[in-house]
Amino acid sequence: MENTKLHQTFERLLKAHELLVYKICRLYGDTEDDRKDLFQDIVIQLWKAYPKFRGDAKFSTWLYRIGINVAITQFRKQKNKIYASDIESMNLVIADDTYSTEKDEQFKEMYAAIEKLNDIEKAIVMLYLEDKSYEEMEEILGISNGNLRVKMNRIKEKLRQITKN
Amino acid sequence: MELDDLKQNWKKADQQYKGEDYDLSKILTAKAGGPLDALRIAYKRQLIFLPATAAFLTFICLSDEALNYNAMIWSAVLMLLFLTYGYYRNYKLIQVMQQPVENGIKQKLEKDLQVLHYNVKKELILYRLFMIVFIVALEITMYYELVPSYKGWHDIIIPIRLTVYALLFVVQPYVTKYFFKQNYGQYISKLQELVDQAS
Repeated sequence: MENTKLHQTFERLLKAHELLVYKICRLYGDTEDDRKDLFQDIVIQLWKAYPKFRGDAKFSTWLYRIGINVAITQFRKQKNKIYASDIESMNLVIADDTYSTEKDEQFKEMYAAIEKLNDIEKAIVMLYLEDKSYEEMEEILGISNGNLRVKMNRIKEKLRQITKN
Repeated sequence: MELDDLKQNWKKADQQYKGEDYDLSKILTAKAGGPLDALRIAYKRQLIFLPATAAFLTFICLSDEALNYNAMIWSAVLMLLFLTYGYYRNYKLIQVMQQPVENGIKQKLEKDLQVLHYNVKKELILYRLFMIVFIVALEITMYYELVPSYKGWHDIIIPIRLTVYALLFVVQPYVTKYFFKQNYGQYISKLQELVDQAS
């Protein structure tokens, strides 16, 4: 009975936040199969950890922590990294009619550049794009606020360099 | 284009996301496919296989009078039980590493790395102790001529025996580290890399 209730609450919370999981998968999985596997692995770990979720942090903060941790430490990709060949499917959403083709190209380049960042940098970029404050990023990643700001500046510069080349 | 320009496009994903098509119950009953899970499953298999083999050998020794005092088989049983303990420790180690992140991700990475390094040190000491006990027991057994099957080894002059033991002592840390690296090597490197990235 207790377990059914727990399952239902978890399912409801997951449904409400599944886009976050999906975004993590998009960022860390190179292929569609990778992403499906990662989605499954993250959901399993979330479910295992859920009974210990005390609600001290926001559910989304807790989800990011577990999701990113699974993606960077416990996930085994099926194939070697693919950069250029799979760029199309790596993009989260390339905007539709709102943007010009040239703009689309620039977005693609930017997403491809993000793909070249290391795992922690990717996590920082994702949280930045999600409009998380540095305090929230610190809570999720455990990297100090000051260090995060320095890293963010470096990442921006790195992305500029990558897209320029 | 700057990263900030991408924010709008990123947000579009929220609006255009139609939802993943998945069956939660099916996912939750599936096995996770990560490297840690693969190791955990491998250790679990050993935790069944090794004691079962030890129990089988014990049964053979006890049921056949001629084998009642066969030191080789009893040594193998002892070794299998010791290995079982080793695998049990590793199994527990995986469980510790699979604990969910409680604080920040960086702290979790550092903690896991520390646990792994501590474990390799502990394992080195443990195997060394086992070796000492085994050698002392072997020498005592031979000294009192308790077991005829050790006669061959007993006939070898002491300096050579001591040299072999000394060699075992020299080689043992490398062998232990090698097996630890085989299991956790890639994982340790990966964790170290991530800690460096987060620093």
